Amino acid sequence: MAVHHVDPADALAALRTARRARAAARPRPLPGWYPATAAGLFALGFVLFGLSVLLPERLWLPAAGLQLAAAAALIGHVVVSHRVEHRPGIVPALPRPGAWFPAAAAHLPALAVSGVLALSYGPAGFLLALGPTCGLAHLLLLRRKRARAGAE
Amino acid sequence: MNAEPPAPAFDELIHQPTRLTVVAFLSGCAEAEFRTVRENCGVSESALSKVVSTLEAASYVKVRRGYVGKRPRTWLRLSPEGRRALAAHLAELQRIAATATALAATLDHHPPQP
Repeated sequence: MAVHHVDPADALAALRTARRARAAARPRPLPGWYPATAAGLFALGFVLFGLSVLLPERLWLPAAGLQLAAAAALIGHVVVSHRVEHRPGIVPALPRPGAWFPAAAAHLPALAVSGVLALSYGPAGFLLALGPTCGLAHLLLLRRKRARAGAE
Repeated sequence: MNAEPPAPAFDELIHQPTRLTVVAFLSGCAEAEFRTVRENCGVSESALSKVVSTLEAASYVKVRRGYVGKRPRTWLRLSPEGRRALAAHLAELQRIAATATALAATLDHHPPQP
């Protein structure tokens, strides 16, 4: 038996201190609006790119507008993801072995569907399918991540 | 994955409040930058340097020095030994608190006879 004398009140205070300090380093809970917003911006970006490819060459001005809007949506996706998930100075967790598998499994069917449509409809088909399918995969992964973070 | 709870063991080195705060903070992440630890734990640079030296000497903390661009950065990480020691120490603190609570409940139900 270790020789020490710690008052139970001190023990409780130390436990509270440890809990607070640990919570400060843990990832912040993901807000409820985040999965739908990030996935929506991702899907919107690729769909708008796809639509711009469909337009005939003479409609270059609307096509440029669509591409601009698509770029804005994809940049928005990156910015929102970075603002919500990035903690400066903290590496939240080292990737566990096999952690890549759920993400790959969620995105592979989406990429396969987009690939098949690319063979039939060209780049427009690929982009128009990639947006919603990968967006949906993204949404499911982020919702699961949020639920898991809430459960911890 | 080791799901077994650690055996309670009081750790004199970790129990000091500043060291406990730093170790507990590092247990919540894989790695953290020195400045981030300092800001979040509310300690001065010199105090944190001393804490890190002590914990590094006990192999509880690993220090990694690198650069972000041209700026030097120091990264701190809790070693597996440090994680085990913290878990065992927190388990011991919980045991102390639980024992006191149980004793108080017993005394409430069976007050000592005069």
